[in-house]
Amino acid sequence: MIQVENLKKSFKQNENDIDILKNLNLQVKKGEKVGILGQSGSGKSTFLSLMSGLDFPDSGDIRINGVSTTKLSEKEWTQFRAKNISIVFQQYHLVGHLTALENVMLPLEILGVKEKQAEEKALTLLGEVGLKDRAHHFPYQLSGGESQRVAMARALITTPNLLLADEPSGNLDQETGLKVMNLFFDITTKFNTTTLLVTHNEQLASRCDVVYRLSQGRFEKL
Amino acid sequence: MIIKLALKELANKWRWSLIFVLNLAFGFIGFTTVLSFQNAIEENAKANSKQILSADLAISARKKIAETDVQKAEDYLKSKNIQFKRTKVTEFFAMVSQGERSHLVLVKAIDNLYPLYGELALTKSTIKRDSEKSIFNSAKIWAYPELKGILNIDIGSTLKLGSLELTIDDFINKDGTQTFRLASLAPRIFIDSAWLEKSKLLSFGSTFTEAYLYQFSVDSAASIQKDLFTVISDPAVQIDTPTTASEDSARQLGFLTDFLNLVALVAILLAGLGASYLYQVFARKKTKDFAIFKTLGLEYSSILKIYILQLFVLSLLVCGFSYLGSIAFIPFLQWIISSLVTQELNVHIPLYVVGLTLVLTFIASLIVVGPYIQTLNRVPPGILFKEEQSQILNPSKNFLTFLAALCLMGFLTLFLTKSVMMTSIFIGSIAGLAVLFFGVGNGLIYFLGSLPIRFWVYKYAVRSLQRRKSTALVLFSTIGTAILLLNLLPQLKYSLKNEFLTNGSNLPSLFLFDIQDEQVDPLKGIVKQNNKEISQLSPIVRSRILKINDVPYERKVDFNAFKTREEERDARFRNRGVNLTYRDKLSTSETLVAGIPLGDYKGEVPGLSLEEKYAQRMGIKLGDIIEFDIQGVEIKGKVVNFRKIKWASFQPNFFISFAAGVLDDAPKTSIGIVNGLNDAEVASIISQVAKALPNVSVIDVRQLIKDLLKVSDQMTLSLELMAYLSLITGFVVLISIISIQLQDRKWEINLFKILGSPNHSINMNLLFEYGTIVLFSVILGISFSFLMSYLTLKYTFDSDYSFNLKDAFYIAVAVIVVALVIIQYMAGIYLKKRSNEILKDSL
Repeated sequence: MIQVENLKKSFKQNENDIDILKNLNLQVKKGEKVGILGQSGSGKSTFLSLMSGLDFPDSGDIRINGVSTTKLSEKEWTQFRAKNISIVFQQYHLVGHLTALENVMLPLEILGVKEKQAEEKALTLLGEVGLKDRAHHFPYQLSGGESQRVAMARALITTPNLLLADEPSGNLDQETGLKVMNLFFDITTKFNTTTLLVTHNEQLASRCDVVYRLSQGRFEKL
Repeated sequence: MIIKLALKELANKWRWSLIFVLNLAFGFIGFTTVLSFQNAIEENAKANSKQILSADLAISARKKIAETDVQKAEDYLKSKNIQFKRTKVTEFFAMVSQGERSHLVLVKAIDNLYPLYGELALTKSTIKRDSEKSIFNSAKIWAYPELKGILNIDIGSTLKLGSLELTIDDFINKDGTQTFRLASLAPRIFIDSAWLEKSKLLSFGSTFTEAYLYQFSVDSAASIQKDLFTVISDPAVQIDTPTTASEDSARQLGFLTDFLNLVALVAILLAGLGASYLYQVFARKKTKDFAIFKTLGLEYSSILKIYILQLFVLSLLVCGFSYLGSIAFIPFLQWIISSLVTQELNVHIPLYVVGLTLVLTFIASLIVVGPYIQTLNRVPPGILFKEEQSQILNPSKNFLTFLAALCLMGFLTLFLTKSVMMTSIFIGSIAGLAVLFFGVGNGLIYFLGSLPIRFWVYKYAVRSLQRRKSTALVLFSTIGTAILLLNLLPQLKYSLKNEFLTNGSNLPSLFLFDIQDEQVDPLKGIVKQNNKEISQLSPIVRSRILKINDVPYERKVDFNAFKTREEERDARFRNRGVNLTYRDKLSTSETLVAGIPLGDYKGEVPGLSLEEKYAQRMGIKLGDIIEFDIQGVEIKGKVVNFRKIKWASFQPNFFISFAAGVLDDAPKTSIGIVNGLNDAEVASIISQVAKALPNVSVIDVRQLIKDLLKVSDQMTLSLELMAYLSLITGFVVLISIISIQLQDRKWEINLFKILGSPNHSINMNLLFEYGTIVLFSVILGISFSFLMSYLTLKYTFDSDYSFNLKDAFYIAVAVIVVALVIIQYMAGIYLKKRSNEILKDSL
C-alpha cells in the first residue's frame, strides 16, 4: 500500500546542509499500524510532512496506493490528500469558531458531500469517540482529551487510506492520553485504517503492528 | 522590573504594537492638523489684531452714532487722563461704473489718520498712519485689484461714484484689516471722507457703518471697553478691542474649522473603534501572562502599572506618528485653505496640540482597556490560564466603554467647536449611527445565517461572520461611517448647486437695496425698459428695540472667558439694530408656523410677525409686546405669529414684520428683486442704475451665488480631504483587523489546505467573508449619507433634495475595489505560505 524508496531530505542551517532523512525505505501494508519512534529532532515530523505532501523530498519516491506522490504538483497533492490522507496533530488544531460537529463535517464539505450526509456521518463518528452529546460545543468548551477525540473523528470521516498521527497524546496527561490512545487503536482497527504513528513513547509504539526507530536519518526496525 | 517587563512585551509583540500605533496615529493626524490650523488662524489674528481693527478701540454702529455718545466716551477718556488719537471711518455699499460696466463696491471713507495701526500696501507705496495720502483733497481712490478685471480699469482710469468722477490712484495689494476673503459681497475702494458728502451717496436710510477708531496712550483697551459699555447704553453701538476684533476675524473661518474638527473627530472615533478591537485581541492573549504574574505573587497594582506604562509608551508613539503624519498632511490642507486666507498662515504644530494628542490617546486607551483590566483582577488565575476561555468581557462592559468614549468625544467636541448645538447634533448622530450600524449589521448577519447556502466556501464565510460578530460589526461600522462621510459632502454640494444653479430660474436675477422713496418710480422705469418688473418691493424701516413686555432691552455684555458659540451669536444678535418691514400677506418664501395671520388680528396694539428662529434666540413668545424706537418715535407691536423663512430663496426677507399700514409714515427705504433676466439684461440694468441712481445698490444674485459656490467648493474640498483621511483611517482599521485576524486564523487557513481545499476556494472564502462586510457597509454608508444629506438640507437649508447617484456610485465602486484589493493582498500573504511553514511556526 505504501512504498517509500530512498527518501532524502536536508535543510540548510548556517550555510551547511544538514541531512535529516538519508535514503529512507519503508513498506506498509493495507490496514497496518506502524509506530515510528525517535528523539526530538530526529526527523519524525519531517517524515510525516513528506508523507502528507506538506513538504517535498530532495530525492526518492513515496508511492501511496500505487500513486507516485513525488510527481504530484501542489494542486494535485491537495486533491490527493483530501481523498486519501488524514492527519491528527498533537495540538488538535480545531477551528475555534466551529462546533465539534462542524469541525468533523468540514473535510466532507470540502469534498463536496451534501450537508445532510456529512452531518449524519459526523454524528456517527462523534458517537464512536463518545462525544455525541458534545456535538454542538465549541472547542473552548471542550477539554484537551475531548478536543483530540474530535480531531480523530475529523481525521477519520473521509475514510482515509492513510492516517498520519503526530504525537496525538503528547498534549494530554497520562490517564487521558491512555484513554484517547485506546480509542485511537480501537477505532483505526475497526475502520482498518493504515496508520503511521509518530511518537517518542515506546509503550505506545509497541501497540503498533510494526515499530521503527528513526535515528541518524534512517529507519531501524525494532 | 516593571519597566523592563512592560517594554519587553511591547518589543516582543512589535508587529501588534506597530499596527495598534499606526491605527490610532492615522485617526489623530486630522485632529493634529486641524488644531494646528486653528491655532495658526488664531495666532495670525492675535498677532495682527491691532491691524485688523486698525485701532486700540473702535466704537461702531450700522447707523449714525449719536454725537452725544461719542462725546460721553471721550469725556470718560479725558476723566481718566487717557490721551487718544481718533479717526472716523464710514463704510457703505454703492455702485461704481466705468463706461458700460458697473459693479457694487464697499466704499471706505477715511481721514488722514487712517490706519491708526497696520498698513495698506499699494502697488507703488505703503500707507501707514502718518503717511502722506495721495487720495486726500483730490478726486482719487485706491481700489481692490479685483475691480481691474470686472470694470476693465487700471491706474489712471476714471470711475463714476454717485455724482463724482474719481481717478484710480493705485490698487491695494494688501489690506491689514482684511484677513479672510470669504465671499465678500463687494470689493473695497478707499476715498477721502471729505468727498463723501460731495458724492451725495449717503442719504437717509442708506445702509452704512460708522466707526470711530481710537489709539490710546495706555495699554488698557479691555478695561476701557468694559467702562464704555456702561457709558454708552445704546445696544446697537458696538465697542470692540483688538482682542474682540481678532476673535471676530478668526470666527469667519470658525465654521470651516468646526466642521473640519468634526470630520477629524470621526476619524479618531473610527481609529478608536479599531484600536479597541485590536487591544481586545492582544489582551485575550495576555490573560495567561496576567495569571502567571498573579500566581508569581505580583500585586494587582504592579500589574496595573505594567499595563499603564505600556499604554503610555504606545500613546507616545501614536503622538509621534501622528505628528509626522500631520507634517506631511499640513501642506495639502494649507494649499486649499490658502485661497480663503489673504494673509500667509504660519502653520506649525504647537506643543499644546502634541500634549493634547498625547493626553487624549492615553485617556482613550484607558477607556478601551480600563474595564478589561478591572475584570481581569476579579477573575481567578485558574480561569485566566485557560486562554480560550478568557472571553471574559461581557457586552455590558463594551457598552460602558462606548458610553465613556462618547462622553470623551462630547467634551472634545464642545471644547473644539464651543457649540452646544453642534456637540449635541454630532454626539447624537454618532450614537444614532452606532445603534443603526450595529443594529443593521446584526440583522444582516442573522439574515445571511438563515440563507440555505450549500457551497462550503460561502457557508463557512457566513459562519465565520456569525461567530466572529464583534469583528464583523467593528469593520462594518468603521467602513460604513467613513463612506457615509465621504458621500455626504458630494450629496450636499450637488443638491445645493442644483438648488442654486440648475433651478436658478426660481432665484431672482437682481437684488436691489437702499432705494429711496423718490427713486422707486425711476427705478421701475429702468427695469421696465428691459420689459421686466421689480417684484416684492418691500419697505425697510430702521429701528431699535426699546422694551420687551415693558422690560428695557439692554445690551448683553458677558466678560466670561469661555462662551459657547450660541451665547456669542445670541449676544451679537441682541446687540444690533433691527430692520422692520410691513406686509399684508406672506411672501412666497414664508410659511406661517404659529399664531394667526396679521390680517386676521384685530387687537388694539398693532400686530407683529416674527421669524421663528429669531424669536427663539430672543426668547420672545406669542403675545409678547415689543416696543421700538423708529427715528425717535416709539411704536409698540404685539407678536401674533411666527414665520418660517426659506432664506436660500434670496428674496427680501425680514425677521420682524408689522401689519401693512402701521409704518406707512415712518422714514424708510426699500428693497426689491428683479426676476428672469439674462446676462446682458443684468449688465444693462446694473449699468443704468449705477448711472442714474448710484446710491441704489444692486447685487447680481447669480454672480454672488457663483462666488459663494466657489468659496464653498474650496471649503468642501478641505472637508473632503479630511473625509478621505477618515476613509484612509477606515482602511487602516480594515488592514489592521484583517492582518491580526489572518494571523490568528493562519492555522484555520492551513487546516483548510491540509483537509484538501484548493487555494482558490480558501481565497474565495476570505474574499466573500470580508467582501460581504465591505459591500454591505458601503451600501449602508451610502444610504445613510443620502438620508443625512436629505435631513440636513431639509432642516438647515429648507432646500430641495437631488440624488447625486453618479458620485455615490463612483465612491462605492472605488471603495469596494480598494477594499477587495487589500483583502486579496492580505489573504495572498497567508495563502502563499506553505502548510509546512505554518506547521513549523505553530510548533
